Amino acid sequence: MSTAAVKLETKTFLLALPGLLVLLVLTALIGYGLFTGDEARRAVTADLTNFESTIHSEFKQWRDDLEKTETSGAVASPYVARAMNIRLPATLRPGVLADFAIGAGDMHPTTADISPWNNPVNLFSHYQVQNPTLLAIGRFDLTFIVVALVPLLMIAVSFDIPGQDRARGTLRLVAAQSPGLTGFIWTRLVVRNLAIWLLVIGVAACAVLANAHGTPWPDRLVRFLAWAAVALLYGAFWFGLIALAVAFLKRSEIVAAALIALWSALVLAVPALTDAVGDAAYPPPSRLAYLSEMREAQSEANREVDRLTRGFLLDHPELTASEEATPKFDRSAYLANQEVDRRTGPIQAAFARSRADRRRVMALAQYLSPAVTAWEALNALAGADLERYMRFQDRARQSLRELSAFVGPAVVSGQRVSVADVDAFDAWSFPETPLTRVLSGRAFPLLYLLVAAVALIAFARRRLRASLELLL
Amino acid sequence: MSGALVLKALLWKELQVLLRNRTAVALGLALIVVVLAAAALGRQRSERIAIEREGAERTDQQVWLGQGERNPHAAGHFSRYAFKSFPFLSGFDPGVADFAGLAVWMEAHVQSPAVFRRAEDNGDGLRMGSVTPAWILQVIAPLFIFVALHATVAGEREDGTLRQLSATGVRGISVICGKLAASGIALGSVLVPAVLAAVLIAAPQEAGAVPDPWLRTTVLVAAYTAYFIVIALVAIGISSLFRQRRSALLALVAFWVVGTVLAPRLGADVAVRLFPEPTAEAFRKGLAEAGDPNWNDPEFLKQEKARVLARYGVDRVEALPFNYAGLQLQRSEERASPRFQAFYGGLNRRQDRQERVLRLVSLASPALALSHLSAGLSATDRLHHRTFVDAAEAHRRRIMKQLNTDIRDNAGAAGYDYIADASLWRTVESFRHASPAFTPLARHYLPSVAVLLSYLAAGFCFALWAFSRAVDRSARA
Repeated sequence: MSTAAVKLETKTFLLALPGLLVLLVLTALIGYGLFTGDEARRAVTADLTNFESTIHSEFKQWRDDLEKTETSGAVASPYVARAMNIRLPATLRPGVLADFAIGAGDMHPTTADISPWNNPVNLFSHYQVQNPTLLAIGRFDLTFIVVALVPLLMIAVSFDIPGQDRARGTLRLVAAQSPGLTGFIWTRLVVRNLAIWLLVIGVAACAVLANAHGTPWPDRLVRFLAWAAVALLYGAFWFGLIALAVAFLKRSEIVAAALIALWSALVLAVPALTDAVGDAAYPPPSRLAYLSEMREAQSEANREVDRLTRGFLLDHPELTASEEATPKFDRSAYLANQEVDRRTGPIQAAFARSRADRRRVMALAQYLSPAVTAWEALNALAGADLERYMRFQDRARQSLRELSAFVGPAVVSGQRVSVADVDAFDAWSFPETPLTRVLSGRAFPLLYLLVAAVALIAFARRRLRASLELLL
Repeated sequence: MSGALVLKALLWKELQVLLRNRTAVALGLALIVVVLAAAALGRQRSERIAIEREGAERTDQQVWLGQGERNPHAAGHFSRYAFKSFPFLSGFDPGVADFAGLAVWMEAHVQSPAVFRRAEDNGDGLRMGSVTPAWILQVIAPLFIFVALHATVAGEREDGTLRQLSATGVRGISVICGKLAASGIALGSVLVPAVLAAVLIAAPQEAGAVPDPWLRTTVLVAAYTAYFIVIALVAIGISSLFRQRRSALLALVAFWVVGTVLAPRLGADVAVRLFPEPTAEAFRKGLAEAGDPNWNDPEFLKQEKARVLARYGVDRVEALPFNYAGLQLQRSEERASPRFQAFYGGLNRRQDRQERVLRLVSLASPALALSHLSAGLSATDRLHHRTFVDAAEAHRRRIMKQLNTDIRDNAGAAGYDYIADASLWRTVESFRHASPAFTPLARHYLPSVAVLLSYLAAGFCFALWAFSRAVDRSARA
């Protein structure tokens, strides 16, 4: 690259008012996005801590009561230390880079009360309380800035290279004096766009250290390196697109119009169309039908509790029903929830299938729009992707089934569980997806993005090396 | 040369220039096609949702009537669901319909929030836009107008024809009116039919009714027309500020990005930061505290019992001429009602304040003002959702009163062993709700109307001032 061109760009753009303004606005936006993300993460963490401590304290009280009934030997009231009253907290902690993306976190539950009183339909409750107007608009986080706004800034600083010089007539002067016009144009493009991306990565890197809040910073650093690589790959794609437009189109106005049209298509239109196509082709099952199935199951179970009890005891020949240690209502509630789980299982499976089908449509969309690829990958690296929240819900339902299977024999036969069995029962765990799997699951779209970026840059350079008449 | 002739000549010339802009013509045609396709998709979606809802209502009634014999209080805990209807313009502008709950469980002792948001089943998208007529007209149509009009004055300055125009002595206001009229005819012939057709296609014949569909539709079309005029005025004004087409286009695109992409998101974020919403755990705790004033207040229970016994001149509840448990249950509902009202009132007030922040931000974004008005007229905004939630709560209280009164009057000595059957369940009416008329709610939308009208007036003044400045500068150049 020409040193003179770098110095020229630094003096006329980076240190001049327009350039400083662009970089200042970008810094402010990134800073605000990271601040918002960090605040959201802290709010979620505080909420989870409160939730866990409430349930743990109630569980401790329950366990103490159970221990007393075991050690005292006296006949306790059926309402003391009931098996149905075991509660365990299921929580989804914020991802390692949660301050980089809010993602699906503003719409989906991060807590579940694992209790035999709940069934898979009503397991997640009271989280749908946000202002729907604000939900519909979406949040302002770093991922949104990188995917939607940074390409616009790249277009804004690059579209008039070399159109402005061409219009003023100074391009011919530069061509006459400079050994390579290509290098001159290329240097200007690189300097301006590199400045933008160095700022993005630099500010984000500072946040990795400043916003750690107890997360081991080596974990954050490794994730951040992957995040930065994906972000830069996305930036490289846009750089290639901008360079190609600059190389092929002569008038700055046409370059700007073409690039804005491409941005609108890739960032707005394609993702919106993909959602619409996914919704039309693979509509999710009706939540209302899911609800209806739950209600029918509950109603039937309430009417048929004796039949269900007999059925349960047939499956557990080692048990006999007793009215002494647990209220009868516990049994009917437990069996009703078992019926709900059984009958809504197919609908749950249909939701999962619909989600998988829509994911396939979105996977195809990644090859049409790099914004979709970048959005998915950056959210997944930050731990804010929809799949992670869905896995949490699936794991919570599984945990509920495990707890129900654990307490079921005791509840239906009217007995208590033992302290030893309770202590041996596995508490909640949620295994995170390793970084290698997050990346390998997105390997093809990212590779496609890399190939597209390289191809665009190569074509642009080839065009810029074309004969001088074409450039002038 | 008379003013009318000048205007006619300007109009004809501007129309020719616009029609020769092949990019703009192609974009305009594409816009019509996309809007109509979106309207058809919206209608299909509305009809599908309506079918789902009708099925859920039928099942809910069947399940309620078929629950067999049981204690009415147990039935009150099983209770019924209220399902939200989707108004007839939801296909045109779904507003917040996907982000607000579809159903409310009308359970005893608890005012539950609305549940089942359709957006949770959607993909993991950028949430940058949706293929609905309203979004396309609010976000994409301005871009089309800017592409069509960015060179309307800047192009004349760049080509040197503005000096010639000003040398003829024609007044600035005549030129503005001519350009605006030409833009209005050219763009209006694309956009207004698109809006009308979209409204007609997106409105299914049998959908949740509003009592004033024609008023809403007329005001909606007027609002979008005013918006397009504002955008055209901004385009003409900004075009007048610059000497070159490319600078004008860049400035207009920057205005568009700030108004449609940046301002709404930043505004929503600032709103949440200034007025944060309760966390899920805080909400649960608050709701539990609001709903349980009776059974954890032994002093109140004792006083209440003494009062009732004294009133009927007996010394024990078994001697009362009705079942005391039924009375207690109803008292607990009545005691909890104002607490629920205060709890949800606090939440609503916070959300109102959040939206006031958005109204302020709409000063920088006419698109935000229009989106508020459009969703309101389509009956798909948060305000209309609240009327559904409030109606569900009123119905819940009616149901609980019916069931508790039945226990009070008929349970006798049986107490909680008293059982009722389908003859009682049949007396409980199904939930019915229609969106309210727009006129009583109109005051909530006045700020957005004021923003649009202000933009209209300011836009005209700005275009006139900018054009006069451009003429002046080109004359001096």
